[in-house]
Amino acid sequence: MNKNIKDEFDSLINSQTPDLWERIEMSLPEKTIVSEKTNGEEKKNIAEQISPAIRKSKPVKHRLYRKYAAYGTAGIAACVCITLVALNNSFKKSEENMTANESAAEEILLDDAETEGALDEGGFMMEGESNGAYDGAMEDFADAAEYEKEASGIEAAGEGAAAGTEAAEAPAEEAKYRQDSEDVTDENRKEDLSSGKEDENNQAVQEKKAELLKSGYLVYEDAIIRIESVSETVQEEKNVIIYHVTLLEENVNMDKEIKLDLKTDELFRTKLVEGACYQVTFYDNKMPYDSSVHEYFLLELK
Amino acid sequence: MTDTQFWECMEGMKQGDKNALKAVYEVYMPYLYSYVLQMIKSRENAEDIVSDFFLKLWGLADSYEPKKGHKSWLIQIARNMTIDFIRKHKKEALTDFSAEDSYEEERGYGMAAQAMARDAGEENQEEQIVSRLSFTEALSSLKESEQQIVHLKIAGELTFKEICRILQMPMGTVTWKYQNAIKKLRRCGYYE
Repeated sequence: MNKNIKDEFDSLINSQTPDLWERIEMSLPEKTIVSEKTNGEEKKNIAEQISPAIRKSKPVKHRLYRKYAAYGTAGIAACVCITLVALNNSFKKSEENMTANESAAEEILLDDAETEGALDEGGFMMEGESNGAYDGAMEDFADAAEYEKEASGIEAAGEGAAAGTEAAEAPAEEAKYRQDSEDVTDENRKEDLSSGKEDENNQAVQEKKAELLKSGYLVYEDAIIRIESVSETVQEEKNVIIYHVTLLEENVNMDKEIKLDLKTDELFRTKLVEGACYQVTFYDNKMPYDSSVHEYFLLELK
Repeated sequence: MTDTQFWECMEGMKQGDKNALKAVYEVYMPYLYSYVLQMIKSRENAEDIVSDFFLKLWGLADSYEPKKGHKSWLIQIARNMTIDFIRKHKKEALTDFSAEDSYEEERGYGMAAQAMARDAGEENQEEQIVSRLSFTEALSSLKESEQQIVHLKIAGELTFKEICRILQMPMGTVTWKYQNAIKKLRRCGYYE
């Protein structure tokens, strides 16, 4: 009597399986269903609610625009002038100081002081000099500018808004340039410090290799490793494929791909670190598995 | 069910779609129940564990990320839940001898049949008796670890590598035990 194990398993499983779905479904907690369509409809409804409010306020803003139009026009003109001057200065400085140093930062600071002095002489009101009427005019003007753009298509309103934006961006760019200068200086200092640490690591690696050679192990260096992406929650081993391996004494060109499971007691659940050394166990993919053909290798990741 | 299809079901579960969970339930519930039953030896407890498994899977959908080998992932979860249950109810699992639901009763028949065969002292008689054993009895003649490996390999259709990961055993041990189990099943008249 010859029976197939797989068929017997299937019949056994089907015969003993109860129906648990109703029990499971009753116990399932509800989840809030989030769909794109729902979000789109909500956004549309909110927009419809807002627009009538905007329409109602437009006549009021229109009146305020008429009242403060003179102040707004002067503000736009001043913003444009300041922006042009600041941009011109920043471009000149960036061309002269491509390689960052501390003197460049000092020059930028000096330029800022001159700009502020020019503004003070001109009598133009900046953020530091508060004027309630002017501040309110700027806000109302921004809202009215959008309305005017829709109503009459005046380009000055758009330019004023753009000029205001550019004026805000110019100091930000200067600050960023100042920060970049400092970062490069710091990096130069770090490179000097790290070269000493690399030497120490290389020495430790060489000592480790010497110990393994004395113990009769084969030691490989200059191994090119490509790590396949593997889920860390389920598969804690990392599959590694070696394309080329070089012995210390002679070159060994391994044309075939070898899959390895990196296993060490300490590093079993650790991500692979570039430049580190790992002890590796080779095994044959054939079954049954024979432990006597294993060898241990030390690989340096590149 | 492919990994892509499973991921789509998990995405549906994330959105609260119960039909997505049911799709996974219909595909994997029979095998998972069989596997848990094989470990826990009690139908009532196996039903509880499998029910809790799918409730847990419903919650895990919120944080699930696409990965390869979803089947071994599911089995690993079910196995861990079963082990936790056994540890928690250690005494109850060992002394569950209810007449209607006990899996041990069938195992007892198998052991008795083997004892009779040994007493007979003739190989031919032993082979005849053993060959008439049911599949369940034949499985019960295996060691616990052999039963699990055969179950995962043949019924679960997992690779040896996945089995090694689930059972936390070396590859050589898994394949050696599997070969031994197949030999024993062959004696009972069952072949791969």
